[in-house]
Amino acid sequence: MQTGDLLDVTPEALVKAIVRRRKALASTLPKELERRTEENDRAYALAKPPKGASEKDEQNPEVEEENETFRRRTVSRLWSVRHAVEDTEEALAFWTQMETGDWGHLLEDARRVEEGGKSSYALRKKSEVDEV
Amino acid sequence: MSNRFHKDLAVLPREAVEATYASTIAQVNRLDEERQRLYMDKKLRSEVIKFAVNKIQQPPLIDHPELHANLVQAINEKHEFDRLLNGRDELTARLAVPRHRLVQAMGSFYERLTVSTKASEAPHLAAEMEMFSKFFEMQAMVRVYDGHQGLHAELDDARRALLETVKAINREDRKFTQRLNANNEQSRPLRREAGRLRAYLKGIPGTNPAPVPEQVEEFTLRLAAGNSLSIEEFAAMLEHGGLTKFEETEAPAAIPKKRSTTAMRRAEPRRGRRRPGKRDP
Repeated sequence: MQTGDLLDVTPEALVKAIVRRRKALASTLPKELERRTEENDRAYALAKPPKGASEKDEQNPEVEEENETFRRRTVSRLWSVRHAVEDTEEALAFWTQMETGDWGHLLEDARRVEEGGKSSYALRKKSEVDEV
Repeated sequence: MSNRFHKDLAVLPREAVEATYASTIAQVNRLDEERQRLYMDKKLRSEVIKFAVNKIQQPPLIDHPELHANLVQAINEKHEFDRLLNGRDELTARLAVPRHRLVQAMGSFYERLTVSTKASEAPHLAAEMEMFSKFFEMQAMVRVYDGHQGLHAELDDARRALLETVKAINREDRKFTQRLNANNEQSRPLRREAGRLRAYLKGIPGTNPAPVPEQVEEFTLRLAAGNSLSIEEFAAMLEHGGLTKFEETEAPAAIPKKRSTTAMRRAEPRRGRRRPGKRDP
């Protein structure tokens, strides 16, 4: 994107673009969640021997360790998707509310710069210098 | 009364020789005055150049601005350059990030906020809010930079103009040196001639010619113009009595005597002591 185009981006347009992206992401998540849940169930089944299995059926330690690693990985993936679902719901609610033009608090730094004040980077630099 | 040096004068009436002597002395005085003025001008130029290149903070006072238009111009250009430089520094301190970095970051933020990615790579809500806020702050910063777009060009122009003026003053300075050398060249034979005329006139009874004005030493002239001298020049002045008019300074306080130490270096262990060994008595 060219500089001129970036300068033409308005808060309304950016909020809309974010909502669009979030909605697109939200539409893929249920399928992803389903796939990860299924994968996790499979990993559990592999890692845990069925009840009543005899000593003869016991797996060798290497396979057991491999199954356990797979299980742990699937748990992590599943949680990532669950967090993504939660975050997406929260984000969609937030950005949908922003679509009404309620973004004022997000533009405080921009307003300060427009009014001739220092940028947040300059302020941070100054506070770092003061701390030293 | 006349010798081989004064053969040409012996044929002239005394009044004519006196008149020649007076006019020669007047010429010598005029050349001395001109030399002094040249030195002062040279010093003034040197001070202006020092101010222009930031070696001194205050410009020299120019008594006759109409005679030194280029020096006044250099001082004004330096003031303008300083003003623009301060403006640029204020802008840099206010925004803290260069424009090209802002544009780069804006592009990256815009892409991360709007382009669809996998769930694992998508930014979280908190990060989105931060990026949204920063994007518009950067937008405002770039607009401020664009509003001051002319500042850099103006600063470059001012720097170039100042350098050109300084170069021109430097060129003039070289001409001044040539003029000073020419002045010296002119003055020397005139002084010799004045001395010769005076010696002739002194030999005529009843005449009392005024003395030839003392030759003002180069160093003295330079000092009077406010120039500095090197250590070697000071040494030369001291040697030839050039600083006789200076007030005598108080004798320095006696330097306290140093503790007498033996000429030979005493080698002693820094730590511990040498223990007597088997070979020691």
